[in-house]
Amino acid sequence: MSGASNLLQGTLDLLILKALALEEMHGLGISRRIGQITNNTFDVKPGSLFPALHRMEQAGWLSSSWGESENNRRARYYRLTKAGQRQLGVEREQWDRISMAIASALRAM
Amino acid sequence: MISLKSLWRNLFRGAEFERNLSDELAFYADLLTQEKISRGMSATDARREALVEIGGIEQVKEEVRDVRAGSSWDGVFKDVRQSVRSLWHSRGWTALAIGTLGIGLGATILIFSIFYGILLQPMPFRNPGRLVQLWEARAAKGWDQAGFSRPNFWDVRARSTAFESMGAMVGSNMNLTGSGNPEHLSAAVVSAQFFHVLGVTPILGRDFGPLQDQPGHNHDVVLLSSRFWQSRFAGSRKVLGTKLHLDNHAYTVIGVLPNGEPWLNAGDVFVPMVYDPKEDDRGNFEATVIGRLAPGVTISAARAELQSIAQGLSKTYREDRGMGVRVAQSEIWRADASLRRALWVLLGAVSLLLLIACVNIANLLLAKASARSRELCLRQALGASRHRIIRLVLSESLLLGFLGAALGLMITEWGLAAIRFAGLSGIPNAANIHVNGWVLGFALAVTVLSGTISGLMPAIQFSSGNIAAALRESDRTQTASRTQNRGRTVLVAVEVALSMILLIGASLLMRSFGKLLSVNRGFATANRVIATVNIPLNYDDARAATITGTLLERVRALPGVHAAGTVNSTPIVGWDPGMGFGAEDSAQTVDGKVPWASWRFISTGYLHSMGIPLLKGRQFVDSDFDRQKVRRVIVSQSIVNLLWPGKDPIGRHIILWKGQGNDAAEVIGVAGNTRDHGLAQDPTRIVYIPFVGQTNSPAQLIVDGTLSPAQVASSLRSILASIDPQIPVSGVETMGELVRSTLGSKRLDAALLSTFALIALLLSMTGIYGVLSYSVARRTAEIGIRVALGADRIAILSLIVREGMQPILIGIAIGLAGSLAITRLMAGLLFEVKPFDIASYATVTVLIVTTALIACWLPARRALRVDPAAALREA
Repeated sequence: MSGASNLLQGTLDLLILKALALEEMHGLGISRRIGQITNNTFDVKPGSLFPALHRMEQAGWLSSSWGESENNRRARYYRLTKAGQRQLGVEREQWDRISMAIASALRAM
Repeated sequence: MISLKSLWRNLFRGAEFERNLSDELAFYADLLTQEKISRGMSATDARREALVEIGGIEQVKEEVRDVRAGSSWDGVFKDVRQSVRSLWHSRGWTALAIGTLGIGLGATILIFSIFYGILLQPMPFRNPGRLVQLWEARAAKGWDQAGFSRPNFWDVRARSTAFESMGAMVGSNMNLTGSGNPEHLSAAVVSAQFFHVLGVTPILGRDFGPLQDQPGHNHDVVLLSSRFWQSRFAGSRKVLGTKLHLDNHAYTVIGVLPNGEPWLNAGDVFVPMVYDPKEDDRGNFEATVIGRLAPGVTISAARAELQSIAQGLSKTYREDRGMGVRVAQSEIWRADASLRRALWVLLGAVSLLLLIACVNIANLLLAKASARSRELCLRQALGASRHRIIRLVLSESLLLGFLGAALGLMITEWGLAAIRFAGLSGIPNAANIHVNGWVLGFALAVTVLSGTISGLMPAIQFSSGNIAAALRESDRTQTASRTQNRGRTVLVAVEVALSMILLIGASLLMRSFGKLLSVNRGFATANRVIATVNIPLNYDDARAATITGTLLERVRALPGVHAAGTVNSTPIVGWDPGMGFGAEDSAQTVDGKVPWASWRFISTGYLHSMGIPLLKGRQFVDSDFDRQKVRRVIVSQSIVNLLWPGKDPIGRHIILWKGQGNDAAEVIGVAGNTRDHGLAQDPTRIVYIPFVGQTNSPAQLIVDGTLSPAQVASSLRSILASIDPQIPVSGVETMGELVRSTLGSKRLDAALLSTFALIALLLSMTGIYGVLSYSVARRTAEIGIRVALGADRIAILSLIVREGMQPILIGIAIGLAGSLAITRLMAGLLFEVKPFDIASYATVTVLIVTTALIACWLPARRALRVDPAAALREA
């Protein structure tokens, strides 16, 4: 059930925040966008996507609203809030630190 | 941060949320299907693949629900709703469970409220940690807890600097006259600062002035206890400034004290103790002395200072020779050691009882939950997480806990009302024991605790279950799975062990109590009535003696009276005056100390009226009451055994008040031993001295005859009205009542503990019965097969009984070991019964085995009635 097992939780949050940085999107859109920006490395399944979206909305990083989709269906759109934009900065910085640290650790060997 | 808005939304707009969640996921699935169709898939295949990719819409929903803010609250509401539904569904089961928990919780809360009221409730004094009580001691004579003599109190108070203030109180009696029938009041004579020491201010009027105990000040003032103020003056504020005629002397009411224990109800009225420089009787240890330590002074520093003051007094005054001072913190005012121990034992006992109740609930839940195991596993298969299942089972047991607690609080209120109604003398301060905030807090804590204990084991067992196995296991499976059986077996063994400990404890107390009731007291109680006749302190000896003599003469002339006599202190419960003594012709000591005996001033006929046998010599006659050069006394057999073993004591001389007055007296008779200190004490050494007079006040009159207390009271009133209308009669009761009142705390212990133990036995037997009948019901098919294959009744019976008795025997073994360890703590509560009392252990074991056999037999009988054909068809 948990597709998140191969994806660090922090990574998923970072990817969702990044995916929503440009425009608001619905669930499948976010999932596709993440596939696209990571060259299909990450395939986020609804079992991890939706709990993450609801959790992040509760944390105040995302807000959601109901709108019309491209095929005229009622769809729920998520967008970044101010706090979400800040969080994106924070997470990006963290990620940079971690990836640099891991990279240097690997080089040291 | 969880926003309030989303919490609100989640809690109260759950339906809308669910609809939106469904819409969102449906949209996702539709879009995914569309994508696949546009890539050339058939509509059906696309739909199926999309759903597989999503991995189960319901599971996704469940995971989203789990992250929702307030989801735990929402879940709890849902769980509670579900629990209520499930409890309502099986009402009989629920009533049994609530009853069980209610009894367990009720007993626990009741005992805790008593425990709190006596040992924990703050005393009504300012900073009680700084309060101490002082006693005089004479290490050489072997006593260290006598009251102070008044001159010693004044001296110690004047010389000590370790105390901010010090006060003394002497119990007394006064007659209230001037309005209707004379009334006997308990009075306390207190030094000026007594209430100031306690930090208590009157609720009405004022306290005594700081110098009110000094000569030259106005001493005709009186403070009232709140209880007396309420009963006599109906709480009227107009009482201030009125005059009370006490012992024919007018006192002005200056204030009313607050209610509370101890001290504040020590008398109906409080009058000032007055310092008299000429007073020099240092042998009368009558005053209760308290003190408040000065700031920064430790109790050991105070002790050292008092010791040096005592040494100084010891050099100056003959009667203070060898004087020491004992100091103890005010904590001891709450309860004596035996009451403390009794309260702890009771608290321990109810904890065991509650534990048994919890184990029973766990058992009931297990039985119920195993019937529900398919439902629970289905929930798990549908995506309910493990902790959701635990929560579901726990919420049910907690709900039971709260319903049980409601019943328990009712039981507590009834119990407290019953205790107040019965006015049990074993519980001091009973009027101030209530269900208050602390008790409610305690109740909440034990409720949650017991709900958790009850639910935890079933919850863990069911959440760890193998889903597939449970789903395969059909309702008609023949035997319960091994783990379920083992769990319940352990619970039954625990229950039996706990009940065993309780039963043995109770049986020890009951046997001890029985011994106490049947102990040879040395005096009779049947047909005896006792009354207090309070001769005013300001009558001289001759006048008092005349009154007593006339009174006795008239009482003896009443029809139905066999004997009557007076004594200066109430048997068993009264003040017990003592003295050193010795033989004139031999120097007898006990452990190198002067032996100690009680003395009693008695009238003629006292020994008769009390049924105390005269073993040798003669009774007192009227001439013995005239002033003699050498007093004539009757001594108890125990004194003869000590001073003149094997010799004839009649005519020998005994030294009374050895080390003080050194009065010689001639022994004219020997009386049987009595237990006059209390039934649990060794027989008292007593010297009976012929004397009636003012010192005899208040006189305890004992009447042996066929009259009831009410008849005695009215006869005495009419006789006294013609002798001296100022003298009241009070405290009329049978000797039987008097003796029973001294057994209050022991009776309470024995009664409560036996009740708890019997409830525990009943609970554990229903537990055994429940487990076995459930297992028999599940094994109907198996038993049917056995019968069909030719097993006879005996084989079936022994199969069931063996299964039932196995945990019981294990429980008995554990219970015996536990009892051996635990009952040793009860040694101090037992009278003539050893903690390891074989009779108690044997009785309890037989009782448990017998009741357990019955509990096994009932389900076994049902197993025997199984019709093999029907059973097999069912399987």
